[in-house]
Amino acid sequence: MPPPLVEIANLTRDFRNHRFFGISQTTRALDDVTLQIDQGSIFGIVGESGSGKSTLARLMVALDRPTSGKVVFDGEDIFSLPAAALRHHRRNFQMVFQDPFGSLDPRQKVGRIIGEPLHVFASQSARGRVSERVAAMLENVGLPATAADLYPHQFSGGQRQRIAMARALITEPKLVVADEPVSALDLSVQAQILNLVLDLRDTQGVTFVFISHNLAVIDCIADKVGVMHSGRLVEVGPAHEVFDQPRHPYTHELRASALSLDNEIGANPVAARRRQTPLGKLTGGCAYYAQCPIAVARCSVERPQLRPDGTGRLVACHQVASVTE
Amino acid sequence: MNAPLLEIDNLSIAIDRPGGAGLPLLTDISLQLGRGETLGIVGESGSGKSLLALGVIGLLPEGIGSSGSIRLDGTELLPLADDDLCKVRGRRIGMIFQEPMTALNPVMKVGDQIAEGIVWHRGVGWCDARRDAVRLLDQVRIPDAAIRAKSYPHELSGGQRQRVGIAIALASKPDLLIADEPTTALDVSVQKEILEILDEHVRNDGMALMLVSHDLGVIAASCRRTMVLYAGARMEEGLTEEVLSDPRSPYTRGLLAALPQRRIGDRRLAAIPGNVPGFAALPPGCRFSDRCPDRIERCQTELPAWRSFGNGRGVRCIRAETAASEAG
Repeated sequence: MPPPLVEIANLTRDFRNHRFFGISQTTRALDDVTLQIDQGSIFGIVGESGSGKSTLARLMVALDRPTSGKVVFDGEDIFSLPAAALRHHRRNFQMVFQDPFGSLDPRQKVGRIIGEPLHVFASQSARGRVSERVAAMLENVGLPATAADLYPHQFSGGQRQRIAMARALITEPKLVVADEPVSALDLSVQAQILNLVLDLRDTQGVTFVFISHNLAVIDCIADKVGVMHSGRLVEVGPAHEVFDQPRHPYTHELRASALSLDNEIGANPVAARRRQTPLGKLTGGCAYYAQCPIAVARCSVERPQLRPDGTGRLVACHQVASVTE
Repeated sequence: MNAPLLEIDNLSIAIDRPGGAGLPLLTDISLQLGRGETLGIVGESGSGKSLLALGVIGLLPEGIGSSGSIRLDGTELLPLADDDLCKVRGRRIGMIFQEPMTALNPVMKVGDQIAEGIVWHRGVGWCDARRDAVRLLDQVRIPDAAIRAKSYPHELSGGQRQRVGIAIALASKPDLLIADEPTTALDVSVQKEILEILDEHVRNDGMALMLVSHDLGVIAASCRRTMVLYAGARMEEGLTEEVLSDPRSPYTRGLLAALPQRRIGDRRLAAIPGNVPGFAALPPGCRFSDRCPDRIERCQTELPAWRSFGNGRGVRCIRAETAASEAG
């Protein structure tokens, strides 16, 4: 088996919140995340807002630096590289952002937007062919080559997301990290973009990290999924298995709260368990302790580590681990 | 059966254009909503669903006019002057807006924002109104309501802010609540809770609910009836269960097929080709004709009429008409 394309080890990112008065606070947005992403796979990340999904995404493509831990991409620790080498390396990992309206420069033509990475990265000899490559890339993502002469505002949200995809792919990256790329799109267009991601993976072997809060989207396209909660991964495994039989109680809750047509048609709304939002943050212990239905005393003092559960999955829960140990 | 609480007949909303016909945004909308009933309005962006919500409550932006008839308990709302409309708005009709971040006043304590409406509409003192506000916050399940009432919106999370928005809308016990994408900005677990709070009021107080959403799951979970809008026209209406399990309009069918679901083998998702058209560039004939997989020639020349099957079920599709007449 080929080695994983990305190996993330003990990645942690703290944000300091400087206050006008009083002491500054530290928020741990990402807490000791360890993860491997296989070549040519689509790795889904789900979790609620504030769970650290986007922080993880930004670190994977070196748009931010971690407080501690490392990201090994294709055998190289990207944060130990000197600046010039990292810059050279960036062509191999690209990012697609959520907002198709804010992420494209409104004053540049589409051809310029897509071709810009080539001007930065490509060798001198290849530069002459930029417009050809842009045209080919536009067709690759399902837009006419004539789109290169238009401005972003002349396109719809779905088309703009295709443009963003083309810009990410023009450097022929090995990894594309897409942070909620379909959340802002209409249902009918969302399916077009999901199909495009699948096509690009199949025809060009691009590895995708696909972030979404929508479980159905991840279940649809991801091979493996990581579930995040409070900056930590709580469950990692093959997507279908994780959604069919969640082992972590938080994955369970996420799945139970998702409204799918199959569950909802004709069903009477059921009063769910009333949930109190925890006010203070726990220092030790499991971050999910306050809401967890199966918590025991141990959970409040000892933080569960992400461990194999014996079925090819990784779960961070004392209650699950105790079953297999 | 009593007269329905809300009756909309032939409502059209159009942008005024100097010298000539306005640019129509919503056309030929008719619906009825009784007390304790729930109606979901589904559609993609640009389908006119938010405009419909704003039209009912009389908050259309300057330069956009409406014609037709909106009756609340028999009272015609469209010709009402602003002053009179203000008495209906907030008291009889409540509204929840999509963005919990921008819908609240950032420099006013949330308790006071809730109390404001109570003072205004019910004529009670601020002291009593503030007490009521705390009770309402508790009702929408905000922990430590008495303390939270003294916070400013930026001190609350998105879910809590949306709950404050709901508390404001519910403060005057409206007969009709219009919720425009109330849970779109929220996480799934919070979404479920918010929908439950709404459901409680529909069941216990007989409130009528008009819920606007692009999320079929949300609609299926909380609305008995559903209307599907596309490019400013209703395409299909009926009991939610029937519309979603036996869709008659190709657009509804396309939406359902495009829902992300687990793929079998290498199969791709069924996407609807193309994009939602702009209002200035609607295709001739049926508005969905340029994207419709089932179109026939007539679809591109003729605007299909709204066809009602009774029992609140209706569809706008030439093919559905011919299918029905062949069967009949």
